[in-house]
Amino acid sequence: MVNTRRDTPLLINSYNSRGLIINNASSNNCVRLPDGTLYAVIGVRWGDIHLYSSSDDGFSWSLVRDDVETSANVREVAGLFNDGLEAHLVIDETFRILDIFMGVFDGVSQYDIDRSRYDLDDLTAAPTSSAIITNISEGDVDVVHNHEEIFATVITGAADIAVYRCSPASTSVSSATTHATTAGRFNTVCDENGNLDIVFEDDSGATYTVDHIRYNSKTPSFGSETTIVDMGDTSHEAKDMQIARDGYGTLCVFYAEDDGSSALTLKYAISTDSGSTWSVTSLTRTSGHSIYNDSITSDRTGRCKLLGGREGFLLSYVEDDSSNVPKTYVRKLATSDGTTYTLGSEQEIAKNNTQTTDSIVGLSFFKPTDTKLMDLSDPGLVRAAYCIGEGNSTVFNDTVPVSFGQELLEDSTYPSALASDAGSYQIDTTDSKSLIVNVEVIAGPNIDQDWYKSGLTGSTTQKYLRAINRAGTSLRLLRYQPVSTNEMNDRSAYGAPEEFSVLCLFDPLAYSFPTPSLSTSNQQDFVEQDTRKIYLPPNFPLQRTFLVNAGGYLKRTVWLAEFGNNLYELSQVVPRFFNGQICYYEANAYVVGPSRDPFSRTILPSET
Amino acid sequence: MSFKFIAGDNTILTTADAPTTSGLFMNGVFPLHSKVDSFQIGNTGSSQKDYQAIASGLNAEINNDVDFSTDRVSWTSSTTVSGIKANEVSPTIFVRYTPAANSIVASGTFLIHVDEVDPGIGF
Repeated sequence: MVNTRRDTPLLINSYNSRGLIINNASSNNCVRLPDGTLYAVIGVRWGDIHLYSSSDDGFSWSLVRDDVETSANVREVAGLFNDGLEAHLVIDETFRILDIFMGVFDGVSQYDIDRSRYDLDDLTAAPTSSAIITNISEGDVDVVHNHEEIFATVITGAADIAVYRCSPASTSVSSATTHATTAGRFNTVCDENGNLDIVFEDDSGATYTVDHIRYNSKTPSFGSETTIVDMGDTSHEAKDMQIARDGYGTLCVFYAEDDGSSALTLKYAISTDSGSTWSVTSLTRTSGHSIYNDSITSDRTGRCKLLGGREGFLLSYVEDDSSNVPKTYVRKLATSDGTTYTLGSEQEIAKNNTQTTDSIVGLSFFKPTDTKLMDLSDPGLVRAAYCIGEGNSTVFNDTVPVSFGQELLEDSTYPSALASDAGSYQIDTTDSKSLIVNVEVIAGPNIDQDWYKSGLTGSTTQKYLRAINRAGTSLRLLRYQPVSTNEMNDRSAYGAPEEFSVLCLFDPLAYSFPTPSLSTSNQQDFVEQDTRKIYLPPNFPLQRTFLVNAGGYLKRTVWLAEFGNNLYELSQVVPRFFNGQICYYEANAYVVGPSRDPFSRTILPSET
Repeated sequence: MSFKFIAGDNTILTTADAPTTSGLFMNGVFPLHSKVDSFQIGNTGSSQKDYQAIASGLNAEINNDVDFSTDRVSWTSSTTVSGIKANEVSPTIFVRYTPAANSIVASGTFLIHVDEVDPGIGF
């Protein structure tokens, strides 16, 4: 299989375990622009909030702002709701504005919702910041936007739902439109017609219910409430509420229903008539899996996330696997007609880039801007950030660090659908009327393939082998394998070298010695111009391993050759064939010097 | 059953003296490239026979990519060698494997299954 592993983590060692994934609330903190640029707002320490960006598809990350919030007041205040950083990232491509909405402690007794407007074309410039909503007891806000406006929805101190409309063009904010109820957890989604669909736990009746209500910004007013699920009593609680819309206009609600004593059931509800009627389905927990309990609060939680696509949805949740390690799973809820929805199989995320013993306690999808929808026919193209590890602080000043990884789901969750990339053949049993034929299909040079052992040999191979044995130079080669558990990006990220001796053909010098210039007293830097070709025998493939180590660095096996008191890095190895037979391997040998450190330089898997 | 498999490069004309072969190897085949090997069928019976060879086995995707020829010009999914007399060795049958573009990159097997066809009275 082609090695596509190039997803480096957002951050190693955050001491804010709720810096990316928060507990029992929603945070739209990861965004992908149509040109593929990625942005993420994450907490590094208590009150230390950073903005990261990647313009090379997650291969490298830039710290754009280290001062999104620097006070220790970001919805992590002891004695108040402290489920973690709620940071909502809104990028308006028309006005070239990057907005960050956060719940921030007002310094007295409650939270405010702060808005910081950055110039998308000059993110180094100081933002325009203001508290747009004040005195929100839980500091819980959900922010979604369409091409015209930004909707900031909060639950007021009286447990009413209040919607504020913010202009993307300016700092102006409308006055609230309020719906009187007794709301608990909630989530929102909007469309381009000014409809804001809100799902919330309604605690006003004799039994708690999960309700839907639609707000329209043109009127502006609320419609009537619809009950999606009656939870039957006042002990049940709807957690991790999510709502999304797909390309057919179908609404999907996904949440975890806690019975108040021991059970937690993941449920999704579908409405194809704008929220008037709903059909509810409970997910069946995979055999061996169990409910995940948040390690800090001991809460039963599902960490539900929902992504709307053009033709269905992607559901995500956390459960303990059969070894009692929390893992994050995704399932596709697909449709081809907007009426029949089929639930796909459960897939685990981040299997390649993390250890099996790592706790993966939730993900955040990199969502497109405004109301754009992704094509989920290949869910492998969805990118998600995830939290590796659990903290130990109720106000997220942890002494145990967590890490924030990210990857395209094609990395391990939804690998390429090409049949050639995975699978195996069965082995036949012969009988007296059959002759068995053993076959081996091999593919391109992206596969770490020993062509000699694979049988691509013949008389031409033997000729090259004899010639190299007769005329070759003896070289000592050193192979350094990367260590997956290492956190460094230099020589120490590799184990001890293994030694090989090989006869090969090594090109003569390809550079001139420097000529000192008497007039300028300069001389050419010459050592690192030493780049030569090396021809290795057909039975000596340079085996390579690629991995992302525990420090988040993409590492590969390093091969060094000793020659003439120099060390050379062997790279860009190409097998050469003649008439279907392997003849030799051609590689470039770069002298190792201060500007070319083979152990720390960034290497794409495609650099063979 | 009155036949045995003989290697394709066999030059011995009588079935009794020709060595039996137990399998073929087609390693290192690229998708859309071909690898060709060969075999012969020796009649161990007492009467003249026709033999038909087809690809079978558990891997349908491999079987579909196998064809046969006796002249290396025309290739078909099955081939028949006719009129093989008692103790006679058939002409060489060539077997070609051409993995499809999206073939699984792995090792596997297929079977060359041979059925004998009684030519009947008059032959």
